[in-house]
Amino acid sequence: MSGNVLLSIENVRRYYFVRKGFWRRETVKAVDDVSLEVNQDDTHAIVGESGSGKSTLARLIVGLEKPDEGEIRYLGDNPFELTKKERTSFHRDVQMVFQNPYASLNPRKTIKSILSKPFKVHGIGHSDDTLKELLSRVDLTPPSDYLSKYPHELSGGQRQRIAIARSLALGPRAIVLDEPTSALDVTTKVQVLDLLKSLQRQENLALIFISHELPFLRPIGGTVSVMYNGKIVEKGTSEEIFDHPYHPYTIGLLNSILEVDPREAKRRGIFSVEGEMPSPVNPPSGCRFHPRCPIAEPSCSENDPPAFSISRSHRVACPISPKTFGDKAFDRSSIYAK
Amino acid sequence: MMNDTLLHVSDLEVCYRARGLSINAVSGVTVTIGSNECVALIGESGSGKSTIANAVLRVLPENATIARGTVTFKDTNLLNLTEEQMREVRGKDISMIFQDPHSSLNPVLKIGDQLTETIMTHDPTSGRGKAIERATELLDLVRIADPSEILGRYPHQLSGGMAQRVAIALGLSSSPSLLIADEPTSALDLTIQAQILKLIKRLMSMLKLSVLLITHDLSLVSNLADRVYVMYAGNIVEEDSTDGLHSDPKHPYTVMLLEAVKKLQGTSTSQYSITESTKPSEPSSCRFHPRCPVLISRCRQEPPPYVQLPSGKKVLCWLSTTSVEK
Repeated sequence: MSGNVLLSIENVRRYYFVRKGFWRRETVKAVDDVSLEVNQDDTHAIVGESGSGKSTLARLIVGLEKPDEGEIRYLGDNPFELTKKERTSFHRDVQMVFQNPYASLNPRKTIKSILSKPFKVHGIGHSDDTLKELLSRVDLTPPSDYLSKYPHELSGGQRQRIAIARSLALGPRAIVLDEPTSALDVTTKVQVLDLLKSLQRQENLALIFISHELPFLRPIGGTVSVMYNGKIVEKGTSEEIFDHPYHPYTIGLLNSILEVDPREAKRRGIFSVEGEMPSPVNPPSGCRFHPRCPIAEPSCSENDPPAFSISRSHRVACPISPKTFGDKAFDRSSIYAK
Repeated sequence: MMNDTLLHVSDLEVCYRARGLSINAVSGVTVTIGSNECVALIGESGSGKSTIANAVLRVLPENATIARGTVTFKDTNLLNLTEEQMREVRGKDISMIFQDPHSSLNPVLKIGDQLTETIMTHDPTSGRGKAIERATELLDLVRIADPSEILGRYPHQLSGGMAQRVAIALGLSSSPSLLIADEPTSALDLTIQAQILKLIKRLMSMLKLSVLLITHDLSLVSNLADRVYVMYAGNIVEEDSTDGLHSDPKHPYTVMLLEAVKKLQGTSTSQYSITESTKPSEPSSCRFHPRCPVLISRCRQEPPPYVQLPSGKKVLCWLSTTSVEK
């Protein structure tokens, strides 16, 4: 397993300091003691609601943020300990695609200029044919139609394809996608996800999805990490997370997914986890989910539960749930009220 | 059913003027909502669903005009009212909540002041004390655990879910009979979305409220709406009961929407081709034809008629007309 680790994150913490008045400073614990491993041609999804710290984690992975504690390793090296010159190869290999294709493309530049930028920054020669090839890899055909266009002439889906093409320009080994389809219509989402899946097959790429759209992550497969309030509370294969979740928060998230079939919806009703995610400034003691947890025990407010293994790939930061449910399949809906 | 019609939008056409051009955002749309009914308008961005809601409340932007049609609410054509009379209708009979709850709250006023101001405006006889009492009642109604604390807060001190609850309370302050909910949960997290939907469902049965739900999310429709209108490029392309739409979708766009969701959730078994949203074609043809996987030559030449099928379903599609003729 560890033979082909591309990227690893070990016990990383990232805190932000916010001024509150003249004297007071508050600490926002955006990412708190998170570890993660991404292998070559892996797909890894990081799921969480707003404020869970998933976007900060994304920025840490690509080196846009420096961890306060812990280490990021790319092919064994910590990019922050490398010389500037050595670090360029890290930035070339690990790319990022942002959520909003309306904001991530410069409106005053043509597509040609947007796509040639990575080559210019890294001092790599390129021709129009290189750019056309990039466009055809993201299914924008015929490519020559697009080069002289401006972003506003393209639809949301086409813009996101341009953003993906740009991330592919320098032949990366990993791409971090921060909510790549959240701003798109459903039919367009299908197209963009299909594109990402086929790129992954063809290009030997590690893809790291950051998303709050849990219902749509299932067909992507790979590994899923669930984040809550700055911590990873459960991690496993897509099947383990979707079919045999253990953490009460994961169960609650899955329960909150609405049925699409109206008859099923009527039969099942709407389940919800009560309460809201606590502020990362002042997280609850012990397990951070305990104030909302339907199966919490008194000990949950005292000790921060360590993650332990259910199977080789499945880890859960909750001692109560496995004790309650054992390893048998259980009715996920039973712990939350309608 | 027709007897207790609350809102009837008939043959509505709304145009926007932009850079010297006139663009039809909504063309010939008819929508009916009965009392205590939840009706959904579903469509992608730019389909005209929010324009209909804004036309009902007459809060369209400056460059928009209602070119044709009527909006009948309890036997009155709202389009004939003076601005002053319309102000009476807004908030009192028809309320609206939005995707971003903070946009319906005044950022410089405390929640308590906003609620009491609204209550006292709609009911000038109630004093401040009574208004505070009513405000507390309303926050209780939307399941806010500690109303007196929330009354003293400013909007920026509330989370998205909490702000949406307050916006709903504000909307309900004068007991309207119709609530227009424009993407009420799109900006909220999954667990909060479920909470707000449960709340809207509860309020509908408790207050006998009618709801016009505007959304792009099919699962929201399935969980809340009794009937649904599917919109594409300013037209209603299909209308049916929520069950009927799901079990027997007829318009190729509806089929595509359903397939897209199934595919995203990994439950799709069909090979129905899904095409990305593009600019719709001219109104002189079927506006969906550039994306349609099953089009016939007629679709390029003439706009399709709106036909009613034996099941009661209505569809704007040439393929459905042939099935009726057969």
